[in-house]
Amino acid sequence: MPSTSATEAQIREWCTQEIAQILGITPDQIADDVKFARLGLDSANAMQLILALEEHLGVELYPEMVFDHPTIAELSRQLLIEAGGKGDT
Amino acid sequence: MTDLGTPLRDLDSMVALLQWRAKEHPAEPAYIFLNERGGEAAALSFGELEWRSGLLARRIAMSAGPRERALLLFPPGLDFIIAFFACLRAKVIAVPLMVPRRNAGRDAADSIVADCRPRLALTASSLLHGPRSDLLERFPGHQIEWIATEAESETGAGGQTAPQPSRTDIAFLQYTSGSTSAPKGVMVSHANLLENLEMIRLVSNNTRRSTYVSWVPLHHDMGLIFNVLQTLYVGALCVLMSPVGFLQRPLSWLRAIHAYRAEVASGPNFAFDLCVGRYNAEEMADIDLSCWRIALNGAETVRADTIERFNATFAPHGFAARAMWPGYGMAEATLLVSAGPPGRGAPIRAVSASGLQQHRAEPPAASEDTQRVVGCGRALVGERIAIVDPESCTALDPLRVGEIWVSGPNVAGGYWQNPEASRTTFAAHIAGGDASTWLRTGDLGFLDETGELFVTGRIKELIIVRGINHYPQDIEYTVQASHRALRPNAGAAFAAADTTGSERLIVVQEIERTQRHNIDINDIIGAIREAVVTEHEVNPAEIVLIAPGTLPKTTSGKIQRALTAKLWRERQLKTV
Repeated sequence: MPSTSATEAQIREWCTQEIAQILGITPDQIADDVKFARLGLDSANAMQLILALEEHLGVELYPEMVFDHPTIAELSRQLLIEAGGKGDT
Repeated sequence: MTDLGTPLRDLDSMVALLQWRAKEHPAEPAYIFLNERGGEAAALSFGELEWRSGLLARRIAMSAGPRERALLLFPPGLDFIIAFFACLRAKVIAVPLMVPRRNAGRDAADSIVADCRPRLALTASSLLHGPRSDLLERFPGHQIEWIATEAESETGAGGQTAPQPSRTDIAFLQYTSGSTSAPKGVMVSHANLLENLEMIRLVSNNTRRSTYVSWVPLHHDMGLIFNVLQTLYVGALCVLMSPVGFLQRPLSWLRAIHAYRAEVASGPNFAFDLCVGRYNAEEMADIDLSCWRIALNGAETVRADTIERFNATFAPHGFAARAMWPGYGMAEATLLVSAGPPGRGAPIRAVSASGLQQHRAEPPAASEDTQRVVGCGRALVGERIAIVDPESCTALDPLRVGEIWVSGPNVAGGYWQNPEASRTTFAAHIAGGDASTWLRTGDLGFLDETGELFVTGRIKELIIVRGINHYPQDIEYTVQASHRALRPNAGAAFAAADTTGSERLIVVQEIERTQRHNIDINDIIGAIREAVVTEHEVNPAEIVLIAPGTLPKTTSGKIQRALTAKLWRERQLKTV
């Protein structure tokens, strides 16, 4: 999948899967608007997530991004901007 | 001022050491800082460090006098090193601090500032004026003069130089001990540093050719002393990279070891696990680690499984199992307490788990009774280690488990302005022993017949995750403040080993009597998790809510964390 064509929904689903895997929980436990910290995502996990996102989207991201956009909904929206993809709506 | 060729043992201070190195090989590279891509972002020769720290020392002397304190708050890079030596040259006591995290509401910085009352804070302009900085807001109400060192160092040119520090002068305060509410700054003198650096040199056989590669933060004693100061001591090159860069790409550490043909590189146990976890054959294809002579694993419990996995994973890349170098140390002993001879590898010993609970190291009775412990070497030259019954303070024989006590010139003078804690921790006496004073480490272990130290647990109620010490009372406070349904002073935080032996955090907390019929358990657990992750950077492995009045406490109301942990293991807690 070319990174520039990723939609927000795709990014969102992919983030959910990745976080679930990092935390050892199931994707259905992760609501779009729940804060990452509430799920137990600490800075080391956040780093893991950023690295995976960088590889997946082929863009360079900054480590504190996960704290500045601390939910799936907010992070996916920002990632869409960073990755230069197209929105859903 | 010492002459060229002066033996290291004749040096009186870290300043004399710096000046001697700068005179002997001024243009030799001393420090290199790598960017995230492995490129050289900054470099300092011994001469440049001497020159730049001298200028900054004069600037510091305009604002602070001897024995006043200066905070060091720096992003990863080489400016920290210049500022550290500038403080030493101005005889101002350096206080390295972690840059407070954004988002965290309450951290140790505030109470450390209240404890050491600094006159100055040395930092980088990017932290002071950067668009994402809230540094100044983090220190409200303190009369601190902030200096961005790279902008100011030239203005000190006209100032005065301080006389040389003496051996007994405090070089810096290491604040890794004590809870957030009651931090304890270990007073590390020039003599403590020089003695421990010499002990490390003797035990590791490192030389001017022993290039180091490190990502460990410089506010951490392993980052500062074992890497930055040890390389200056032996005149070697120290290649530094950012801690965040390492966490993001652990294999970049190994790549740098390969590229610089480094002999020495260190990390807490989790760092070795992280490298194994992120192993990628393609990325490692051209990496040769046969140069790596000393892989110090310390600062948290050393795990046999970790060592074996790391050895097996990186053997095809030339990593020699004999290079694995488990060590034991703590800030109260400057840094290093014990380590083995280099090139020996990690001695792993199988002992009886039930025997350990009876305070004895004996062969396991059955395979399910086996616990594997890692030997952390012997006492360093000039130092003694004793295993002592923590109640009666009598010395114990080999293979008996007791508290680890340390005596030697590397043991620091005490905690900053805390005579009571200093007396109990730094001035213990062995019953029936000689007049020596001993450091009580709060850790448990045994010595084998050859004097090899094995660390088996701890008395102090400390939780160590990824090399960072957490105090239970700090976490309990955070838990209780996170939701109104939780009872104050009615929770316990403790460490428990998972199946791989790694330490994880368990939280047990009472709910309020008035709340017990109308609570949303998931809501409360979410609130606790969010608060603990935000404030302490640890995700509790388990959060257990229990009925009011059921947490084990002594008759005087003290929380019994060890008993709570036992009840948790046996599933005996009254959960709600």
